[in-house]
Amino acid sequence: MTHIALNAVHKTYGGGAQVIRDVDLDIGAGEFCVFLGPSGCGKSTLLRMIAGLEAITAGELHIGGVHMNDVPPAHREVAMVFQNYALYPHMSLYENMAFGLRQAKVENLEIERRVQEAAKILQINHLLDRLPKALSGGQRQRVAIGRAIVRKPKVFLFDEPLSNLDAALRVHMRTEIARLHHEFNSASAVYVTHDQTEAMALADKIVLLRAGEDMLVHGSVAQIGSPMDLYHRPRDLFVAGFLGSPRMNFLPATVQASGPAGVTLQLDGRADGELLRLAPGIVAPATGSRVTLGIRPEHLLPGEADGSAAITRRVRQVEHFGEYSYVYLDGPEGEEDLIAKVIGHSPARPGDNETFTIPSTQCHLFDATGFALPRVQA
Amino acid sequence: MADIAMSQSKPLTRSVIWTLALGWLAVTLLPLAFVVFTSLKSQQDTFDSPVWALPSHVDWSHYADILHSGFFTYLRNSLFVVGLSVTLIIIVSAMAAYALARLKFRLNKPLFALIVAGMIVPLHITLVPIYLMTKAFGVYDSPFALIGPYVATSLPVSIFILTEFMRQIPRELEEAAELDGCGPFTIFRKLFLPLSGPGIATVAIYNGIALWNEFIFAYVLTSSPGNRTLPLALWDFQGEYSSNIPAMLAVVTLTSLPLIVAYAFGQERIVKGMMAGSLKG
Repeated sequence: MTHIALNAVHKTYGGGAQVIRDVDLDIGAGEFCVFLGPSGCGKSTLLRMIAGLEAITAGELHIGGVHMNDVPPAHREVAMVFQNYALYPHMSLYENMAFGLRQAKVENLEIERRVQEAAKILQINHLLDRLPKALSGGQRQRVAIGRAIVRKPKVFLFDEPLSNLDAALRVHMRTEIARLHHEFNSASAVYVTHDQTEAMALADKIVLLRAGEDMLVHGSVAQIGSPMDLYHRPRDLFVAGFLGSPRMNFLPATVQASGPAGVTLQLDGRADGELLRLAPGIVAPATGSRVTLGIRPEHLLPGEADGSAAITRRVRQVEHFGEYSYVYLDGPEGEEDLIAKVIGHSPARPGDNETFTIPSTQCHLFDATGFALPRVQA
Repeated sequence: MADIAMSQSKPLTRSVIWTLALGWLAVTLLPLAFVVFTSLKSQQDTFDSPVWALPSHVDWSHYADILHSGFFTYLRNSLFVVGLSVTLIIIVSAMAAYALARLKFRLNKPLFALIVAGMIVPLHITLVPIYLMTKAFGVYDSPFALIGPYVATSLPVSIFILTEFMRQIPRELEEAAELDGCGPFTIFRKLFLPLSGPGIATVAIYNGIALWNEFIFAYVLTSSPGNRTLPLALWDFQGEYSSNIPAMLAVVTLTSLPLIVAYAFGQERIVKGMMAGSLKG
């Protein structure tokens, strides 16, 4: 059982460009950890530092309690699945899978046994004599996973392994990877993706990373937690906006009143001062302070419920998907439209004024610096 | 309108292409045909018949004379010198190319630039120093005298071609091999060498042809017929058969024959290698 620990890890390239800043992270034994974030946030770099393919500029990496900063990749007992498969094009699938074992001087009989076993699990045992070029994308990805499995590593590293596959195959391979992780659950897995669906579906733990200026100010890690933690309890506006599709709606507002009875907000952009009264549940912000109200599209409920806050907006567009509809509403001035996800077929039509209830329990409040105001423990 | 223009221009384009192709075929084939046909004429026949006439009867006597007067020694020397030189060029240039394409070390780029700059050094200014060095090493007038200069002068272009070729090999393959436990030398031997096949073929063909026909080093660094290569056979036989045109052309035919046979057997590989070189380089 292998535990991975990163302590105050930094990565700066030769020219002085910092891509990773101050990462503290513990990945438990057998845990499936997903690095998620926008392009350029350094998620692949962080994975490659664990693999030993990138040097760590500062900080410490321990795998299984052993200090690994200067240990060569081959001695870290990790196996990696690359985005473009990285299969050796001149070797048969058998040789591709056996190559690492041959380098480790494993006996031929044992190599044969392990390759056949992995091929059976991945259902590629009839393809072992072929060259990689004779395979489809999905089959190549299986071989790449097989190559990792046969080495019986303590840590599996996946670098956007599904991004070259079509949508249907991606879903299929995602479930395969989840199944394999359960079969080999003594090994930890670190998985890089920019696809939040993959992250939510696979992860025991998500590490959401920041990019650019935010990274330099606040550090690389935006939030670490279970998928549901990040989804329901985002730490700041970035996390709230990154997870969820369509993304969370944000309504800038000023606190009009705040007390044990709840919070009253005056939304921006309305001369008549549209007021929202939220029931208690969130730590009360100071009266007069600037806040941002966050509400996910699926939590905007059509119609007006007694005693609940509600907003009325002009409908700009409606998209029907059968199972649900997206209703696009006029957003705050200069901001993006608000989106409501309505179950089933929404009767709303462009140009109509529609009222949506905002349940207080589903609201998120962020202070002027963008950090979430904590919820009151019940 | 565009379709009509296309359909009208197509036969015209095709006939222009055919005319140019046939013209080029004539330019390359006619001299060769002239050499072969004339080499099969008797000396009398050469004087009596028009230049482009076929032999009135096939006369192999010139070939027999040449083969009995030391031709095989020249051939053996050429095969030895070119074979060993090309092998060394491939080994050294492939290893250098791998280091320059992939390994991180100080002065990597300046070193590559220096090697590439070696391509612009005129061969002839190196002749005297190389002649003196060859004398000093005691290998003057032996096939070994040619191997050093041949390898050295061929390395810049070979390293250039192979470095560019190896830069195209995806870095992930190297990283996968690193994770599989390979060091730089194993990565080179088991990954880069087999994957650089087309590039190595280009280097082998390019240098093989150039060295097979190389004259000036062979002329300066060897003196006795027992140590000379095929281009010198032409030179030496020229003195012997200067008035015997069919015999001279028989020497030309025999000298070109190994390359023509090699091309006939390896045509597909050669064209692929050249194309790969042209695209990657």
